[in-house]
Order: sequence, then C-alpha cells, then structure tokens
Amino acid sequence: MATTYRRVRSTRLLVLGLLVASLVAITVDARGGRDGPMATLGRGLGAVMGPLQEGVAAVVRPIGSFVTNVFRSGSLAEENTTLREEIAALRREAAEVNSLRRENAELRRLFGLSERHGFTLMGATVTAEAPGNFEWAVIIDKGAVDGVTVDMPVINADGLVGRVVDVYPGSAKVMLILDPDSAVSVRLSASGDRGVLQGQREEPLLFRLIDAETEVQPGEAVETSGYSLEEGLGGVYPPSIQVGVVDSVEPDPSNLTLEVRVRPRVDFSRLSTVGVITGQQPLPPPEDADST
Amino acid sequence: MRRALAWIAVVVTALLLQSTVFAQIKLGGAKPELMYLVTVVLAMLEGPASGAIGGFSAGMAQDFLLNDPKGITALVLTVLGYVVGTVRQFITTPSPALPTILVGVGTIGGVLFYGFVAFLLGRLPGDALFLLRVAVLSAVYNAILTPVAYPLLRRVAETTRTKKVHRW
Repeated sequence: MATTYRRVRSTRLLVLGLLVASLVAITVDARGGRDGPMATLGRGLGAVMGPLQEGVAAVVRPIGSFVTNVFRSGSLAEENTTLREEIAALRREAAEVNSLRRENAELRRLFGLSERHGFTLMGATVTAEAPGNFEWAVIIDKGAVDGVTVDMPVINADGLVGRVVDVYPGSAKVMLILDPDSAVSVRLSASGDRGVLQGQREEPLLFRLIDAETEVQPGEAVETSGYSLEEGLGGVYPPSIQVGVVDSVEPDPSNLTLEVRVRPRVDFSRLSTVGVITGQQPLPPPEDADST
Repeated sequence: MRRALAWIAVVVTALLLQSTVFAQIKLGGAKPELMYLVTVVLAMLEGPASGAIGGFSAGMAQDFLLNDPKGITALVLTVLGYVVGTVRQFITTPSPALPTILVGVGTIGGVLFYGFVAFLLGRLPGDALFLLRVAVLSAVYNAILTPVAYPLLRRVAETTRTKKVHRW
C-alpha cells in the first residue's frame, strides 16, 4: 500500500516537473524569439530532419503515383504474376517520367516568369510539410549552403507561394500565404488600390483594403504591391507577382468596409517545384518608351 | 538506454511519416496526429509515468519543427500521456477495439486541449468550429491507423521492456 502511494506520488511529481518544463520552454521561446535558445535547438533538429525528409520524399513520390495508378485498375489482379510485375514496373516508370515532365514544364514556366520580372531565381523542390495541423508551411530542399536566407520570397509558375521563415543548412521552411500569420501587401492589378492580404487556412484569402470606398469586382486580379505598410506587414515581396483573383465581395458585418475574398492562383495541394527569389535585377525600359 | 533509443526512433519515424507521406494523403484536409497516437499507445502499454515522459519528448520534437511557441505540444502530450496511462489502469475490458477507441478519444481531447492552450497564448489559427473539425478528422484518421500502428508499437514496447531477473 505504501509502495503504491509512493509510486503515485512520484509519478505526480514527475508530471508536475514536465509541465513546469513545458511552461519554461514556452516562456523562453517567446522571450528569445528567432535568435533564442529554443529557436536554435529547433534549427538543429530541422537540420537533422531536412535530409531525412528529402530522402523519404524521394522514395514516396513515385510510389504515391504508382499506388494511385494501381488503385485505378482493379482488373490487374486477375492476370498472371509475370505480366502484373511487368505492368507494375512500366507504370512505375511512367509515373516517374510524368513526374519529371511536369517538373520540367513547371521549371520552364517558372524561369520564364523570372526573366519577365528580372528575378534571380533558385529552383527548389518541396520535400515535406510542417508536421502539425495548425501550420501551413512546407520544407524545400535548398538551405543556407545554397544561399537561402530568412524572408526570401518563394514563387511557382502560377504565382506567389510564401516566404522563407527558417533556414537550415540543406533545407528551409517556407510559410505559405495560406497561414493566418502570413500578411502580404498587395494591390488590385487594374485599379492599383492597395491593401493587405491575410491567410485564412484553406479558405480564400482575406483582402483588407486600405481605402474602404474602393470598388472591387469578382474576377479582378490581385498582385503584390512591393509596398511596406508598417514593420512586419508586407515589404518582403517584390511588386507585380500574381497572387490570386477576387472570389467574392461582401460588406463586412459592421457595414463600414468590404470583405473581399481572394482565391490564390497557386494550387497548394500540388505544390512540388518552386523558385526562391534571391535577388532582382533592374528591368530594361519598356519598348514603347524608346519609340516615342 | 535501448528502450529510450527505440522510442526516439519511433518518434522520428512518426514525424517523418507525418510530414511526408501523410502530407500527401489527407483526410478531409487534415493530417493524422501521429505524436498523439504514439503517446496514447505508449501510455496504454507502459503506464502514466512513461506516458507523460514519452508525451513530453514527442511533443517537444514536434514543437521544434513548428513555428508555434516551443512547448505547447509538449505540455498537451504530457497531460494526455498521464491521463491515458492513469485511466487505462481502471479499464479491464479485453476488447481488441480498446486501443482504437482510446486513441480516437485521446486525440480529440488532446487536440481540443492544444487549441485551448494555443487560444490562451493568442496562437489559435481559426475559430472553434475549425478546431473541432481538425480534432474530429485527425482523431478518425488516428483511429484508422491504430490497428496497424498498435501491434508494431506493442512489439517495440515488449522487446525493449526491462525484464525482472529473480535470483535464488
């Protein structure tokens, strides 16, 4: 009886100690910020996990396509073993070729985009996602050794993806524009009216206009403005990167301003090849300016 | 030592699977919460003290890979491991469905508790409805994975458990 009581008591003390340790970790992390000891430890673990995630992703991607193909063809089970193996091998190869073709096409479009805007672009592959359900971030296979630094914008052929928030030696974490912590300074392509675009998880992004009187129509294109509103809001992204199109426009509950929802151009469920903007060269003057 | 290394390998594998394989196979937009699954199963097999230590370690490992304040998941999983380990001592049913039920219920409770702590810290990304949706979907996903994961984790626990030696 006394032994049981002692064991229960020591377990409770242990749990109490662990809870205190958790609270200390939360406090130290909140106070230390990006350069604090907890963030440094996090980068250490990220540096270890990066190559592992890259390795697993390289194995999983073709198998994922292969499994999908197999699920779509039930009649294969009735054929003889040799034939099945042959078909499976061919499908695996086809899946790999398709994956490479898609990656090639995406890279071509991506570098076309970089030429138009004068970006210096570094191609990267998405290897993993943040593990939790409450964070919208991906891991890419380029890191500090490749010259990636925090706050570099990330795009793909369709438009803006997000920005780098953490850098490890061989990989980096990119916060997607879907994350509620993400705020991008944007403008309407047609009118140039500005605002801030905030992530809303899988829902369309929320566009907070600076001028509440602005007229907005569904279908209007939204692009980055390259404009900094205040510390921490915007200013990271170069101007004129396509972000999305206006999905809906409704008065907000207070009726004082508009609630504009923007559907991102990027399909985040199929994110694989991206480009990290490492710099921007000055663009040549437009041709019509020379002719006049 | 061998036991600790085995469970560290389990946690790292679960983290890798969650961020790669299950990032591609989502259930209604939600990933499984494998750290919750590992913690609940560990607590069931090894009791409240091991559940709490395992939960704390698994939670810290996940926290280090997230942008949220480091320590939230550790706090949640410490409590979850302790509670499941304690409750398990009073359950006598031999039902084979017990691990699945405990993992499902534990995941819902754990994710909701995570949401509560995140809310207190001003870090909850969304409303209560979103939190409930994620809690239910990830719990269902975890419950689906339990019949596969439980025998593997039980094997890890049994092969690395310290054996009592009686000397005569």
